[in-house]
Amino acid sequence: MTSFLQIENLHKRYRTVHALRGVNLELPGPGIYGLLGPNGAGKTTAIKLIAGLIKPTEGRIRISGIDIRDDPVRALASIGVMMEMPRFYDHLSGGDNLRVLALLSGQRDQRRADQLMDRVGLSAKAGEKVSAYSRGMRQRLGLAAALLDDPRLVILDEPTNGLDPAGIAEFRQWLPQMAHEEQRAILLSSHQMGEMERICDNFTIVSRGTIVATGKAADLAQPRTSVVFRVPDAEAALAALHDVQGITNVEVLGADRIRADSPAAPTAAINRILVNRGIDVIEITEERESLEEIFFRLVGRDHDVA
Amino acid sequence: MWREVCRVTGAEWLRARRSRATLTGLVVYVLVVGILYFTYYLAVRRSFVGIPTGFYLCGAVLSAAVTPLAFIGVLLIAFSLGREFSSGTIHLVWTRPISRLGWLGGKVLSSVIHLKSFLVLTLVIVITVAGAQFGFSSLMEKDYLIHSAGSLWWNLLLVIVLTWIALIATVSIVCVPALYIASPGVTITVCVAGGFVLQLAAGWEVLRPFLLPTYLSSPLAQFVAMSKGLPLPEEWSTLTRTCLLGSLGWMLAGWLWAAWIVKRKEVLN
Repeated sequence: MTSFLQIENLHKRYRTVHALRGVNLELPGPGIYGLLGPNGAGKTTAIKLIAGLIKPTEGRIRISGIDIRDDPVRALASIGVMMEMPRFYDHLSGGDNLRVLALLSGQRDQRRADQLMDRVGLSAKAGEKVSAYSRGMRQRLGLAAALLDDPRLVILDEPTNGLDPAGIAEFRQWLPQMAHEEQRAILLSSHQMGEMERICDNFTIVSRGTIVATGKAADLAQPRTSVVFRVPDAEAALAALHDVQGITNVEVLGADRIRADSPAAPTAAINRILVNRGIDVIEITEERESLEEIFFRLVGRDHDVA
Repeated sequence: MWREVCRVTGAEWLRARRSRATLTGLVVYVLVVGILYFTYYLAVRRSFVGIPTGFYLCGAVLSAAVTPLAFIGVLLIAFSLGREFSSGTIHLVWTRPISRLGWLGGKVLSSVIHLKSFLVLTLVIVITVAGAQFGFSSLMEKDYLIHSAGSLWWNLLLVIVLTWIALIATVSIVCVPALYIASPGVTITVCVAGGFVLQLAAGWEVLRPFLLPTYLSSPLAQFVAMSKGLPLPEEWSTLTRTCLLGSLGWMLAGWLWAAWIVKRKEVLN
């Protein structure tokens, strides 16, 4: 099966700025792919290139196997794009906006527009002019517009900006449904690390116009060396692990919790030592590097996340 | 088929829009034509030797209405193209599976059809008012001063077609600044200023045959002379050929240039 998206050696130069430098990226199949990077890293440039809004200086973009330069109309038929802060014809109603866009794409059946308004929870407001819509409602309409042509690849730039917590929760439900049930690839750019970590299957981290890392969060995380044990008596556990080989540091976190840094000793071995010394282990938590920690390790802390 | 035509021409969009501004513009235009008619009527009453005739008023008002019509053409295309960029809706349109040239063609075609409606509306208003004032039979008399009524009607039709083609050329040319500037207000200002410059340049005999305002005004001036019962300054065939070739030249130049811009245009904001 052809990749949903394939980018090869993509460069984009503006007059004085080299915004993208040899980016390679592939979205092989359905899933939610997170695009992370600091402000000015090149994320929006990459999205605009894929969406055909700007032209690459060098390199190739293939959408469902079709090169966007060779046949932009066919290539764009397989993608749906929602740019950050989506804009609409303000003097038209939300429903009419979708219907006009459907007509532009040559869709004669207007029921899809109505179904999508219903799906994004806007059917009650479909007759209202977009000028009266809140930012969250525009985001929802943007998602409906992106899905209008039933695309294989959906690109969402900051989709949860301006949404209330209930709206964010709905988005969190929709995205896995779109990816896993409807078999779409979703390229998601957002600065909400927590949300991204929860939703996305794969991540691509961009910095200064290049991709610095790509893969699943577990693969990108450094091997974890710390384990937190909940025990009845933290001081007794500290004493028990004090001179164990392979444990470099033991730290008391509270009356009933200790953290052991153990680059060499496996968690099960430490657990056995505690049990053999008569200390009941109530809970074990292996600390994993969070997405935010991965991001800052790769990109540096002197950047904003966006 | 009908839906396809609506889609291409933007008529569906206009139906969906139901804008008060559009209706207000239409009413204002009808008032402008009415004012032009009575201004000419009163002017003719004071200075014209003889009586003002229905045909003369048709020609004179159409001739005067060419400037607002050209301005409407500028407004239509400047808003139609420029607002997509200034409001950011171009993101919405250019990320859809439609060809950019098709999109541009739809915009131009929609403006041209609306302009044609304005032209026909002007004619309908003028003929109705002139007919009501002088009697419709006066527009049908066999011998109308030195030109026959039949040839007057045919030439009026020719004038309408030539004027429309020249207006299409205007719209095509305006696409270029509209796409470069991407702001309706600035585009209109630039085009109005450009229009004045072209009018001034048309005063220079050497340049006149090559300028767009000539193709807009010459057939109408000829028809006005004809409806006054004066001998014609030019052969109709020569005038038709010149106006057609000139307008088509401008139109082609406008389309090719605009198509080139649209193909290369990047949406940076």
